[in-house]
Amino acid sequence: MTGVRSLGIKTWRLFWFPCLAVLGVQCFSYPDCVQDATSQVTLALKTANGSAVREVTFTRITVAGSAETFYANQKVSSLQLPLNANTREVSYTFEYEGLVKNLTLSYTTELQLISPECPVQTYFLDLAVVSSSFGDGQVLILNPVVLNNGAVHVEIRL
Amino acid sequence: MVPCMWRYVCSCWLIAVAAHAQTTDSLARKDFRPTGLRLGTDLIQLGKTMAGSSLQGFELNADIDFYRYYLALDVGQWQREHQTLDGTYSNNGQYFRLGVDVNFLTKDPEGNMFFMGFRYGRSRFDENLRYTVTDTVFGDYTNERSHVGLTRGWGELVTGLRVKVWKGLWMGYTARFKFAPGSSATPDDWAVYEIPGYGIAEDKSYWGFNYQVFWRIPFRSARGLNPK
Repeated sequence: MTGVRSLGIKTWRLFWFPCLAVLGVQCFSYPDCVQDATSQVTLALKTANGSAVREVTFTRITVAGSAETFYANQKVSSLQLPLNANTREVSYTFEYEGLVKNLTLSYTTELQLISPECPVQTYFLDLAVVSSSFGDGQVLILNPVVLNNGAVHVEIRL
Repeated sequence: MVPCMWRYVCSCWLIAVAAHAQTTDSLARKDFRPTGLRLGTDLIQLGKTMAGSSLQGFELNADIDFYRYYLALDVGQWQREHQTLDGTYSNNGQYFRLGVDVNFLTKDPEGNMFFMGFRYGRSRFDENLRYTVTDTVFGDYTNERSHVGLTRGWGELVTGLRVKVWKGLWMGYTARFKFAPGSSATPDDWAVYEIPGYGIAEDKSYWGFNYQVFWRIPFRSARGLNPK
């Protein structure tokens, strides 16, 4: 106790206690908004044997539950299509080169509130193929967790 | 950063415990009968509540001495409501912490304390999230999730001071390094956001701070500890 005594405990307690309280209050902060969740699934288009990138001119792509059309009259080799956070499946219809193909994907979602100052994040996980008219083994899930990190989630061979 | 801080805190704590082990005299000669019960509350929590903060609640603290060792118990009530960017989040629960403090100022005639110790904390709580999703493709919608009766535990290393101010009135602060919260995973698709008494569940370590006022109720005469 001699150490504390030598500081003069009354002065010491009067000064430090309020200071420490103020410092303590300053310690609280919210984490940053990390926007790594996305509702956009990325699909890469490959040739039938998967060895090369394939560019396809789509007439249009439609998504069940939405009136919106995607990639109308566009030539692309990869696609970004929306997932529906309010359901556990989404179906796409691809119209290209006179063909009409369907693909239904399933997934689970996980909600996360990172901070009150950030929007609620919906993570799409366990991505899987429910049905496909592209043919057996022609739709591959490369990454079942859909994050905003530039990864390809689905490969379509056509 | 967090693992580094974790190592630093653990090292300080272990050094203190080792130093304590080396300097402990024969405990057999010491009187372990308790001399008093100290009851208190956290002024920061009260201040926030009175200032109308999003966090409403209180915390009661108690400790009882057994020579230089103190059995400490904290109980608290926590109610929080946030306006989030796209909805509201609310959390309501109770928590307790139980642990032991070791006083390193054993020769202080007034019984002032510089202590280190540990706590086990546990919380029972409900939380609710209501939010609106703006979706240009599938249309906007409002969603709601609730967790009822969740429990989570965590550990704490603590340090601080207790200083006798006047008669039975004591003031003190406690700095807490909280760690190892229970998993944020739940049976549903919404991860736990906040654990009362701990903080944000996703943070694997957390600093806490209490600024406390106590009243000590003496059981028996002990040098320097009875109110004059």
